[in-house]
Amino acid sequence: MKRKIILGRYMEGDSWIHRLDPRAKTAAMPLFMVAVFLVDGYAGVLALLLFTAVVIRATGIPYRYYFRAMKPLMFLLLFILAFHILYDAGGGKLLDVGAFKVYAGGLEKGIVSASRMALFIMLAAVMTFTTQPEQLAQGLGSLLRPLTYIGVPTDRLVLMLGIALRFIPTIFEEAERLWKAQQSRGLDLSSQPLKEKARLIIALLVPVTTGAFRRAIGLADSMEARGFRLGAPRSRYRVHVWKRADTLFIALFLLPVAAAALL
Amino acid sequence: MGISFEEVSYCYRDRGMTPILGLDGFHLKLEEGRMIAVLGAPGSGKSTFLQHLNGLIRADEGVIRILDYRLDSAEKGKIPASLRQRVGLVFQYPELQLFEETVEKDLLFGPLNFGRSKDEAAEAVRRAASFVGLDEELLAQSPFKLSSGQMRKAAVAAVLAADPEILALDEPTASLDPASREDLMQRLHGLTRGQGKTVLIVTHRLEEVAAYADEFVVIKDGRVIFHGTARELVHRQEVLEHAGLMAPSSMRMAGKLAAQLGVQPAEMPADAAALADWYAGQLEL
Repeated sequence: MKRKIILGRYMEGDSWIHRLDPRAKTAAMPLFMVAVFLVDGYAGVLALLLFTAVVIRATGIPYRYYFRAMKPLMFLLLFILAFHILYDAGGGKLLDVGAFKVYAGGLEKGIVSASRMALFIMLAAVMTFTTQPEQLAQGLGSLLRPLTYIGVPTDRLVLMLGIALRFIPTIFEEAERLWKAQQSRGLDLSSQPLKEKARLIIALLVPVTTGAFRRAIGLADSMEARGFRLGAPRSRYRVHVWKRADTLFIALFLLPVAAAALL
Repeated sequence: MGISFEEVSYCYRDRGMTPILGLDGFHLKLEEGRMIAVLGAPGSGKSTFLQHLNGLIRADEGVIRILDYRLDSAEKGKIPASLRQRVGLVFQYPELQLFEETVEKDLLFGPLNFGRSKDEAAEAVRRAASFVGLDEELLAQSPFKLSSGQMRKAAVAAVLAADPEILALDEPTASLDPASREDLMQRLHGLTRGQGKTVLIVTHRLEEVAAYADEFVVIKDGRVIFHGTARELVHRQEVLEHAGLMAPSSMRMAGKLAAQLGVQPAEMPADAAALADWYAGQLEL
């Protein structure tokens, strides 16, 4: 179960991307999004894929982990591709078999749209693989801080995000344990009728959910017991220092945006 | 038959970038009908070993023989359901094992999965519940309303209901009060003596199993570093230290007293009272 979900996990490492200020990484993401939405066509997508490949290379985490991150979303990617191929007409006709027609324009749109999605996933993976969740939340908090002046409760949001990120792997681990316990008591979903299968899967989620609630209550109590108050001034365990590498990293992400805008 | 692990190795490959060693050339032969304590520090591979017993984890290398099954690393075929029925596993966290609306339904889950009829299963559940000392009134309750001690009992009963020949328990006494601990250990011991079942208990607290286990297996870094009886273990207390475990205080004291008197240490005094008896006996000699 857990084996399949790798996106969102932190992978220990010591690449320069790992050491970047989380604020730089968080800020790079929207820049990258802009670039992804500006490109339209094979050449642009190819260029962005190359760019992402270089960034991935720099993280020192093997490519296969990024492919594994994409695996659970494979169906979505294929659906996007198929949708455009089947419903988008435009450009020369490539194939004509009865009611099934493929146009060059549709194929290009399909590939471009699916690649956009894939690019997002890969870059999100770069972020989460190289940044500890609490760092990511803290970085996002710093970037959102100005919104406090217009009444957005950013510290509350960041706390929520930080806790959610922290507990995702724990909850997956619990789900895996539960799954194993049932398997060892003879659970075999493949032999069950669909209705029973659905009932079992939902029933199996109950202990995980109650566990998550219990954990949340316990956490809230223990935080309060240790003097935590929302909005109270707090010092930081790790103070972010903006270095030249961070500026360069942002600049690096401005490149594709500029290129896509100009071309 | 029994249980035999021949040079079994297993690596966790799905936990981050560097594979974590679970078992490393794990070699062990156990006979049926005995109570075996599996000791080791946290992270030594105890739980990994346990999960190999009914094929939840398949070895990367080596051969495992359990009862009349052979689990080969080479052929990763489907695990026969009968193996899972004959080898019951009780996990460390009972609250993650119970999921049905009532305790009774949860206890029925195993026997029904293994193809018992409804009546047979209900009978098995009643027997299992009374065996672990779970009140029959509790059967109609939601498992989430149980106290942690009751949950533990329910989790053990849920596995016993499938009538396994080998019962393996991961830290079964955690979250139990001392009296219930004693009680559970006695009942489990009864399974080996009365019904000829094989019981494996994984723990890092030797004093809890000292009085009951026939054999002791000490694991460190995914390898078996000791396998023998209580008497042998008393003479090799350094094994425990090496494995990152504490010998029970009664055992350490017996060693010191024996050295002072210049005699062989006691077999394994389970507690202070047993130690006192032995010491009194030595003084009378």
